[in-house]
Amino acid sequence: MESLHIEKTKSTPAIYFDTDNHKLSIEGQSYPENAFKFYEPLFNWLDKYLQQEQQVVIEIYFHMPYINTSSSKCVMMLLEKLEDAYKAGKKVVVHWYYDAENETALECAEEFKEDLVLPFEITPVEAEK
Amino acid sequence: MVRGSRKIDENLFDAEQKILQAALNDITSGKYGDSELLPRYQLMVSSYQKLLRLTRKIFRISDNQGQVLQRHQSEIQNLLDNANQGFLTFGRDLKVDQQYSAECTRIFGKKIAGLPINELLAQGDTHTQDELAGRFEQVFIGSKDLAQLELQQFRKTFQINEQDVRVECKLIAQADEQDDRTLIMMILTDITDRIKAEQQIRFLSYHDKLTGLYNRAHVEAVLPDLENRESLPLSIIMADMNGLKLVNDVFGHQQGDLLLIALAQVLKKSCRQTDVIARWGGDEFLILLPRTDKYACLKICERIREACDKVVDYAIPLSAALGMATKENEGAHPAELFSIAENRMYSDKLKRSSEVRKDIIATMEKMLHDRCLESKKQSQRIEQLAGCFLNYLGFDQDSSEKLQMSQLARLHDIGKVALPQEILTKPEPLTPSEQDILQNHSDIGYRLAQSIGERAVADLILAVHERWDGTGYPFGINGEQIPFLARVFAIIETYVGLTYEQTGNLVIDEKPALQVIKAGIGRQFDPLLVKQFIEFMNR
Repeated sequence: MESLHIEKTKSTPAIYFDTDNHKLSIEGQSYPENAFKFYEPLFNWLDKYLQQEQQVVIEIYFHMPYINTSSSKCVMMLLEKLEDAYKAGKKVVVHWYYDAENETALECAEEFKEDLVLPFEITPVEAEK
Repeated sequence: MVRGSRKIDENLFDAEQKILQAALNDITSGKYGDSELLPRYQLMVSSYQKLLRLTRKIFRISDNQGQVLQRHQSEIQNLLDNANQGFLTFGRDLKVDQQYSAECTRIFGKKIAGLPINELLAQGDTHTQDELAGRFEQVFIGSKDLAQLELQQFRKTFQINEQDVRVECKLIAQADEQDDRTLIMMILTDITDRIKAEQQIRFLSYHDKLTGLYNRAHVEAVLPDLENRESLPLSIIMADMNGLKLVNDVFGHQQGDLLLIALAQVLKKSCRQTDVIARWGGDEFLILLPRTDKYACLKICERIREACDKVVDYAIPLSAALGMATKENEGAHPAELFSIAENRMYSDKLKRSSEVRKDIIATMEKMLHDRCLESKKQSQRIEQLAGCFLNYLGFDQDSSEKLQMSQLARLHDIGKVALPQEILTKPEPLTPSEQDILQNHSDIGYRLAQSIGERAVADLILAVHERWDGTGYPFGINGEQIPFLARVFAIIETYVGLTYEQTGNLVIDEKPALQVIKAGIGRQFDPLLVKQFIEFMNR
């Protein structure tokens, strides 16, 4: 399986896949002009990956306070894919990190988690200055 | 966890929820079980349900984030607005961006978003406006390093709406594919108060605060410049004000200060623009007169004396001892010049001291007679009668006692010049505190006589209100502790006071007056002296 590596910009997160640990991390801010266009390669890659592999760990850390609404929709689509895989019997774990100083970041994380049955851990981290 | 946004959106999607519920009811009712559209209808309803859930979530997330962003923005704005500095940014079009701190609005006196920064700073000066536009253009087209360097050197003070505003700039390169703008951040600091304070400090460092003249530090700073050939001949005048200590002691430092200011004005009026006039010490002044020979310098001294004579309405006549010196050629050290001028000033002071003292006493006496209803004739009567009595007691005509008595007759109430007029002329009896103030006049009179060098008379002035039995003031001394001439004076003054009004009319005859004096034996007066005085009067 081809590796995936997207560099971080001011408005888009870094996306990196660690094949040894089956770990996909998304980290940074997310307010691209066209969110679907940005996340589409990730969706495609994940679809392929989940067809081949039985397990995946996703680590997500959005530097709040802001991800735009389209990005939120894309993240929900991503989580839906994972939820479907989990329901299909694959080993899927989500680690969601949020800035400890920002109390609404936890609320947002909980919104993303709501209605999902897959393992979803929410962990505070010290905010970047 | 309480979620405010969650509560709100329950109602927000009410209509959609009702439509969804109706559709779900349609499906579960079994009414449309035969319809071939049912499977597609079911798919659409399930999709609608999912979409509604998702939309709600996204709304909540978006609202949450919006609140945080709003708070962040307000925190940052607070920081900027309370920094007492103007912060603004602009791009290559030179138009000020939307966000800037409140201090910018205050400095420019208006909202500035979208206005060209060069016009704002130039304040109507088209030359500056163009120069600034050119300079900023260089920053935007140049390499980043050069631009940064250019801006580091851009540190200027502008006059904006009568304020001194220091302007500093910083280059902000936005490395962003969406918003690839290079910006200049401008920091504006209103330094009007600071500049004023610095000017005030500079002024006070080289000026005397009271008179506004230069001070010693200024003279020391400019003296080397005045030693060159172009300034020759260089003259100096040293001036020492007469009677400052007296005025300070008797009338208070406020009056002394007024006198110093008056002399400073006289010096300014008498000298030329090019002369350097300084307050050298407490009552000493120094004038440096470049390109002035000794004749011109003498003329200025004359002008100072004449101007002093014209100044009236102060506690004492305005006068100053003057000493001058002139340096005709290079070589002579300024210290020598100062020393010559100083010595001449002291000899001038000595030469004129008795004249100055006489003037001061005459002014005081006049003031006493004008202000205090103290009759000149009354003093003369006391002087005359006391003189005769002293002759009778065996003192020579030109003895020092007679001279002192004569001075005492003239000056015994001189301290009253410094008392409030309303106490001196009050027709009703004085209150105890007013009595205290009145009694203070012997103390003031003492200091005044001391200041003009009449020490023996000063002691007598202080003692004339003492009584033989020790109940007088200010010290309550008794008997022969009271100086002899003061005891004599007490009898004569009482007698003259009894027999003559201030206006000169006879009040009571000699005999009843002498009875009053006699009654004071052992209480107010020296018994022996009263006996001798009655003998003298009956002679």
